[in-house]
Amino acid sequence: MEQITFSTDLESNIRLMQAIFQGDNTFVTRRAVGHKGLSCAVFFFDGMVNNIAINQSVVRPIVCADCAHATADELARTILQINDSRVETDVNKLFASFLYGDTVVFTEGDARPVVVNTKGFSVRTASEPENERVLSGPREGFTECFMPNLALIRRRLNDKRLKFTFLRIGSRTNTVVCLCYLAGVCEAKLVRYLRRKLEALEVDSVLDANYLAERIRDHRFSPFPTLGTTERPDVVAARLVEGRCAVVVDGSPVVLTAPFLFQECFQSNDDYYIGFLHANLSRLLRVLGFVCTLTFPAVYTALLLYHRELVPARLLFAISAAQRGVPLPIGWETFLLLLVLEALKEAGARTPGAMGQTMSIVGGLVLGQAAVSARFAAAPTVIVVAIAGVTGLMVPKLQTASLWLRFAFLAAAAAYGLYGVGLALALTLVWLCRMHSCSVPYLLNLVPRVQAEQEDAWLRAPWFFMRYDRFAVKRTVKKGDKP
Amino acid sequence: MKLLAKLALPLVLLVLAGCTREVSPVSALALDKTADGYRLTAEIVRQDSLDDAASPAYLTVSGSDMPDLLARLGNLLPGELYLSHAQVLLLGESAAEESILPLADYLCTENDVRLSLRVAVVRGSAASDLLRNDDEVYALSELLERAAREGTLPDMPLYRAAEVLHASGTAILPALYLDEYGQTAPAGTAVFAGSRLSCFLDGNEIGGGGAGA
Repeated sequence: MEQITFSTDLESNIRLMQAIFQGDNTFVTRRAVGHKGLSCAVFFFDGMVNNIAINQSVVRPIVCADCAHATADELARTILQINDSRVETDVNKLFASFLYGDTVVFTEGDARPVVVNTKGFSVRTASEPENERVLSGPREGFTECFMPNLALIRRRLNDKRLKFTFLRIGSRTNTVVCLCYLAGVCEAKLVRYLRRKLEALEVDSVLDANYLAERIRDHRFSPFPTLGTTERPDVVAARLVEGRCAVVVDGSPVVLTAPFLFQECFQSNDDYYIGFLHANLSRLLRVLGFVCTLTFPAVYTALLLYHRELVPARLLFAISAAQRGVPLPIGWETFLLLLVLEALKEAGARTPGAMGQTMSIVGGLVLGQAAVSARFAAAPTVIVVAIAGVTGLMVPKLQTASLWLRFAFLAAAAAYGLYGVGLALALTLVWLCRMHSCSVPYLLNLVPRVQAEQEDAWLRAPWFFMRYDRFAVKRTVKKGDKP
Repeated sequence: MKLLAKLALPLVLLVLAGCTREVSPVSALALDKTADGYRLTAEIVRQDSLDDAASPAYLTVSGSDMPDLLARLGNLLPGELYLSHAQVLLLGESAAEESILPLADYLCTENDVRLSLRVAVVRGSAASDLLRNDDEVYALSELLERAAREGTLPDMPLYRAAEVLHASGTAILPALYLDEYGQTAPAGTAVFAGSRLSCFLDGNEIGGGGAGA
């Protein structure tokens, strides 16, 4: 930013501000003169501020002031009747606040501006996030508004050790990013590590949490998530209690949490709000669903291509009958049907409301039935692909991994049969074993050799068995890692 | 570019999948001796659509030995000859009177054939006639399995028969026949000595129910 210097002359300051924001019709300049002669200029952006606060707490006190002159300090301390006002000498901070909805007040005879917190833009209510619904439990979700999001977290963690550290990222957007953690619970090394990563970012814009997530996460090309994302304050609070860090980005309802472990993919918010018996069954089903969505099309293809002797006789006859007349080999048929499934999912997701449902029904039922009748595809293949699709939805956090690995497994099955599937599974496991999130092993708690807590890994223990210090994520700093 | 290559790899592998031939699954085989060699009758399973029930169709070929017979059978079939789900091999009396050891060895080493294939000797008629007698797929294997479970016929799958024939040359195999009502029924046991059919024992003689043709 070019050097801007304000003067003690109010008129020249007004001209300077108007020159800076020339062409911006939302920029408002209000001259306010007190009945004793106090002369001030108030600057704000229309739509970004709370008009009532400006009228009652800024303009009226100036107009009613019983003095002819006042310094910036006197203005901030004794005249303006608002809870948050300060004299700002740093021009960068001044404009950052001003552009974010604060009001700037200049007084005659003082070059230092007063920044008044009058933010008042309209915000969405904290409704339940669409993609993280729960059967029972809290219904609040984050919004795009920064401070209310932090308030939602603090309301759940009434602990003086809860820290919010602000950073500004993005040369153009100058977005406020907050690093949240519980001092003493979260390892200081982890906080330093994340802070350093965030501060090292050289970006022009940060419009959503994902702008940061893709840049700061470990294993950037892995389909397995290494940073947690959530729109629920209760989840963030739980993660902070477990010794993790959260990153709140202004303008985004998504909050990042780190480190993120593989076991979290199978955890659902409901797991903690319903009985442990039900929760554990659901969790096991999710694990089974993930394995199923990866391997079902591949195993089906491998069996029919290479290992037909493993298929029970009558089932084989039925599948052979269904395959009769289908023009494509089984591998290609499954591959293309999986592509169609993804296309339908994409169309359903991008189509608004009721039309999306219609699209799903038309796609799923009518197209599937028609494809079977027209011998484009065999009914068993449609069933297998549908099962893979449905089970893939059971673990939303692993949808990217499911999508890519499903195709990879299918290719391995088509090329090498069940041996290929086994090899692909082994390679995936090796890959997972090598992964880490913020230097914490990705499979922490799931692999027996890693000393860790088991109360909430594959299964959730009942609350009455959980220990007080059950959560704390143990971070293993590796050689070459510079936290 | 490297990433693109990695992503393209699964697709390239998929090309290796190639085309699969339609299979012609065989559920049972019957081997008879003829004047100039052997006659093999295969019960092929047919199911044209998911709504249909599986039904048997029969194909007969003649040849000099089992490999030759299977090769000829494969040439006749519209799809790939598929023996993995074959569950019964019926031997005619005349075929059983020759040494069955080479046949058992060949079938045991054939990749497609299951070692649990049940072998039975047909008493009093051609094996192909008995095979054609039922209109239901796997009716014979179910009969043999039930009889083995109840103890009326010996439980002698292919691998066990080959094992005892190699060990001592003596084996007992289940025997079947067509009764006076034209139904397939247990007919005691066929006794093999020196790998050849030696005699039949009635069901009564071995304590089972039965036949005695």
